[in-house]
Amino acid sequence: MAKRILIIGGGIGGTMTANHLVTKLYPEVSSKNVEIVMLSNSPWHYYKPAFMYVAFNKFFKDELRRPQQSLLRPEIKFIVDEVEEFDFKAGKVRCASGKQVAYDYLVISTGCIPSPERIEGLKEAGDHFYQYQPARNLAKKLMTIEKGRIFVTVNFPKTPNVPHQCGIAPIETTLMLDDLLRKRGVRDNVEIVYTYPTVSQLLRNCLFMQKDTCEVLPTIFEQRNIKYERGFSLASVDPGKKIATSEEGKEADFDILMATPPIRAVDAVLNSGISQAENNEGWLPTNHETMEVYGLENVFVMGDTVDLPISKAGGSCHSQSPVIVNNIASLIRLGHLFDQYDGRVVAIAQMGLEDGMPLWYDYESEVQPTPPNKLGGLMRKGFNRGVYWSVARGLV
Amino acid sequence: MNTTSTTIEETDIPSALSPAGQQGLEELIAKIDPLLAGGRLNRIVDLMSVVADVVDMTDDYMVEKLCKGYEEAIGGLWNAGNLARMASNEVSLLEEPPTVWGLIKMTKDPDVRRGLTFLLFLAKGIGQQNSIPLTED
Repeated sequence: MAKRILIIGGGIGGTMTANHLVTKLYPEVSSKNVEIVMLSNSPWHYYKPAFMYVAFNKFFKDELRRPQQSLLRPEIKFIVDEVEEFDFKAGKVRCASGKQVAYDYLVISTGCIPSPERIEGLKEAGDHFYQYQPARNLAKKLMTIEKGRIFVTVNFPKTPNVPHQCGIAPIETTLMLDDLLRKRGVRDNVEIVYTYPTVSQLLRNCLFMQKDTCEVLPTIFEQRNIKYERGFSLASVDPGKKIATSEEGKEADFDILMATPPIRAVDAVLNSGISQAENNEGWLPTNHETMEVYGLENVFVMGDTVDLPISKAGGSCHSQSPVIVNNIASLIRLGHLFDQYDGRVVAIAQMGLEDGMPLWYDYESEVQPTPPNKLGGLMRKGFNRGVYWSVARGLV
Repeated sequence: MNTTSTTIEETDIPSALSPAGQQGLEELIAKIDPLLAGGRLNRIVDLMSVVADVVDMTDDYMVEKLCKGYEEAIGGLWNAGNLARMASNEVSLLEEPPTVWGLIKMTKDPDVRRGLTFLLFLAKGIGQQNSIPLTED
């Protein structure tokens, strides 16, 4: 009887892990002693960071997605179905179709869901760029605004020391916004206000979740005439009056409210009963080195669903995935785990429409900001358009 | 020309360097000196200039087209390699080659029929590309 490795989620984490498992365990896979199965709720794979570019009219839908099957090695059995319930005791999951899928080893890579409805009035009056349709809606507004005020807010999960989705995205989009409005010739008539909440993971009253980057931001913003404000934790929005109110008691009017919204885990993870996260956010208790879910045997978690203080982004998955692959391989072959995640995150930040800045950090060291430049921008654009798909295929 | 005989200590530039750093710099200058004298280092500067020009000339549209070609090439090779490896493995697991009837029975599998249809359409495409005879003007 073949041992089955079940991967839930066809995002970047699940896809690269499934492909890497085939190559790592090829002797077992080719002799039919190990079977790799992926369950995803969509036949499509979306390059989620490109939703940000959709808001700036830089990507069409078909350019940021590929058929999931085309990104998977043929040895992987791919099933399109939504997981509705985990039965960890019995080692199986139940899907929306009623089908049950058993596993010996489980990898949960189900991402997170933007949930603006968790802040009163935000869904009605706010915009974001973390999904395709909201990004399209935002694009229409950004392309037509002639004068007024664009207010940027960032909302962290209530679970202590857990970041919002893609840590650098609010800065990236604020700088892209400045460039876009300059290109359109309306920048002098549109005020941009970047705000950050009082509590951002372990920092207080900063402009970013890491101190070194926080310290260089005022200079960058002042050079571009972008206003910035610390200590604005969005509490509610009045859609009629277009006023955002903060937990600190401030009020701000806006014409466009570009928000990084609250996030949560998917329903099946929320309902699993395993999470200890606050505010019903659903992050799974994760061993920060082995990437196992605490309290469960042979169950691993990665990407947005973890409760680690690590960016919820593909750049985290890229470093977590090989650790999980090695640990599953060593469990099968040696009976114990042998790899540890060091918290490494690698990315190229899009700093405005043209420039880019490669960055990396881990549990021990923070991002060291370097001057953004066009070469960095070309690297990011090359990644967006081509290299990403090689990463998904497990080639990079 | 006495520049090569001038010691590092006689200049102001490396005063901040450690003795080991000064020695390293001396060695580096000794290596670079013939390249400068022969004009060969100019080629490196020329190359850097060309690279800088390429970076300046490259725009979003060029990146998009280059990356499309990259992805199609890599994706195509990757797919072909994967399928060949999997097919080879399946064949190696057979104790005996299938009989003719066994081969016909394999076509009951819809995926096999899809694959055969793909090959037939591929043959059609090749045929279409070669369907117009070339004659001399």
